[in-house]
Amino acid sequence: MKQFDFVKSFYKASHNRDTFVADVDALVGSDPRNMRVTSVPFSANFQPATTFPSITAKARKVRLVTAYDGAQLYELRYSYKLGAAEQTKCGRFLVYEHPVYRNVFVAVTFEGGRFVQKGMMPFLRGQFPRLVVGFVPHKRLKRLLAAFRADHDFSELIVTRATQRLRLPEEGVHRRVMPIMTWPDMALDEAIDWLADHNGWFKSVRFDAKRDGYTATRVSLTRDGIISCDYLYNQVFQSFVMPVCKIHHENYNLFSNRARRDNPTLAARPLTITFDEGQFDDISENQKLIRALRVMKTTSISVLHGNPYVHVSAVDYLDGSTFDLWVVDSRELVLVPQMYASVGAIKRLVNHIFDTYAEGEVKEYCLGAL
Amino acid sequence: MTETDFRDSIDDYVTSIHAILGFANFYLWDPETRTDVPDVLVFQGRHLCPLSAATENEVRNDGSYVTPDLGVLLPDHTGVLAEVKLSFPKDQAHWMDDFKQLMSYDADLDGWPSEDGRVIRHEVVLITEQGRAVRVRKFYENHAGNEIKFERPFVIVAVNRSDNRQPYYFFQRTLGNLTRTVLDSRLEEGVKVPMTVLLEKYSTVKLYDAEPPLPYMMDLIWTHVVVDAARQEPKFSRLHKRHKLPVVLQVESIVERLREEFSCRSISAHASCGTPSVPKKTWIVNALEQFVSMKEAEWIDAKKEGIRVFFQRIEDSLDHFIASSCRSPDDEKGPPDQQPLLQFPDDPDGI
Repeated sequence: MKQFDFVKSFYKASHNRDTFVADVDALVGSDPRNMRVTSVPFSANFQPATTFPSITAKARKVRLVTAYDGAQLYELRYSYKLGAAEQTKCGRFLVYEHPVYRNVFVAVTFEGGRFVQKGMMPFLRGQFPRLVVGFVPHKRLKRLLAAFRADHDFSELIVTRATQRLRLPEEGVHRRVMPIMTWPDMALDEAIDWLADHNGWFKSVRFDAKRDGYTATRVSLTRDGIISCDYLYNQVFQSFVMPVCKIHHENYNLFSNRARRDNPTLAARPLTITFDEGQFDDISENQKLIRALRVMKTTSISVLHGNPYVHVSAVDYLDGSTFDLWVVDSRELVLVPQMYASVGAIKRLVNHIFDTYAEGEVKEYCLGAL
Repeated sequence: MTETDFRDSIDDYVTSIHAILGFANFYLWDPETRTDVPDVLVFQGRHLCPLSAATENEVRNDGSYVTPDLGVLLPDHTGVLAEVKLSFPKDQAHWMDDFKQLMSYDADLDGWPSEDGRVIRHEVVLITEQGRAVRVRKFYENHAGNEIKFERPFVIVAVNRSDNRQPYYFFQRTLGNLTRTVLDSRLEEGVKVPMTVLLEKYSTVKLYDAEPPLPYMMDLIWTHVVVDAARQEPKFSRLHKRHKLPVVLQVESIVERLREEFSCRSISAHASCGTPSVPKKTWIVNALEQFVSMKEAEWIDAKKEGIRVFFQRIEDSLDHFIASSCRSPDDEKGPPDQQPLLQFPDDPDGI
């Protein structure tokens, strides 16, 4: 018997900004457990509707299929290598325009993991630095999960699969982070606390949200903000997608116009990363930080001073952004964007520090007292 | 020079800049009101011409001029000229040259960033490293009135970086009196300037009126001019590690870029008019010659006005330029007759 194609029907139907999330929720609810929806919040300094179709890349090409009110449907044709053979595939994704944050969007797809990993994510990441995909710090993730559980009355969240990274403190290790994969069937709060105690973070986590003994939805989250679920999309959207959109919005505003050239007087507009109290009390932390910075890919890290204060010059070879980094305080790292510094490059640098050294809070630099 | 020599000289150079900025900040910032002092102008590398002794109004027509490391023009039409000399030669016979330079500032000078190019009066300040300040003061006192004469107030200010966990620069007046009495009193007791309060300025002022160590100059050109030009090329982001991307630059434009973006001109209180000389074109040419000798660039004309730099992804650009400078022919000349800053040698012949 020919099955009804709910997704095709969804694409053909009319959607708008106000009903979009409810429409997706209804679609996923039409075939729970068998349909997964993946959402990827991102920020961009352009409108995808006008820019995506004009992007020409050998391995990936996008076509605008339908423009709804506040959302669009795209078809992505992509190629990738599987062994020696080159595969060409096609899939569809939607872009939802955030109703409030002008530079924030959500890519939504019902396609499988291969499309997300080989097609959509490389396409989105390929637009760096004009487009930036997400980043969820560990502490923030912990708060989001606690709120998700409390807001929707889940009795427990059980980890079914997770990949973690532990920041390595010792010298002489090629990789600054150690990957681990586990399927611990552990309560999520315990797993998060264990990771925090071991100076680590989730790269991705898949968990079952349980209510009265049954699994209400299976959710997976990644550190770079890819969120997927097989049911209760509306709850997942409100608890994870919207907060990640907010992170994008905050970061976009905080990281925009930081370059000295964005300022007519050429004055610097530094940012600070504030760590836990006494983070740099031990002088050996300087070298740990420098080692962590040095493993950043596609970046030049030059140390002008390493002890007792840190002064590092960084060049991002992906887009030519340049920075000065300073540690002259026991808990703060000051990041000074130089003549050119894109939002994407600032975010990449901050993410790298969070991934390989420690997580902190990024804020506007405040002049100290003289 | 060895890598350590280069590292030390870069540290000396950067420390000198921090000392200049820290001292300038005493005039630019009011600690009582915690606001910027309006109408103060600072300048660097500006040509000031001595006035003729005969007329006291005409600029001496022999073309001579002085260029102090730092000048400050205050709202009451008075000024301060400062020279930073953190390291002195071991041989005290050479110290007189430094004092002669300071004495050359002790004259009526034209070229201040005031309307008429003059000030009512000014004072001369030597900023030196704290570990040497006493000997420098004694040297001055031993020669004062004979070989060393100042008609205007002459002040020695000692500076030292305290390498605490929250590092600061400590400034203390060790000779003479500054005309600004409040500041003079503060400096008599000594003032700590935490590095954290001046990071913005430390990040934007990377040059002063002295030629920087070669690898430092090369790194500045590389990081802030070459990379910026290369990033305009479509291939930039897709460049493989060993691939090279040729970038054509004009020497004058490099000079102008660094002058605009990394000299004292990038401070908002800087006097924009005048004769800028930081960086000097010769410093840039010297650094570019080193790129050429490393085969990382080639001149595109006989007059050496244009250069093609072969950009590639270097993992640690400063380290790369230090290593290449260690191997250069200039290395054979040996290190200069100066001690590294902030080193307190046991050698009694040292300072």
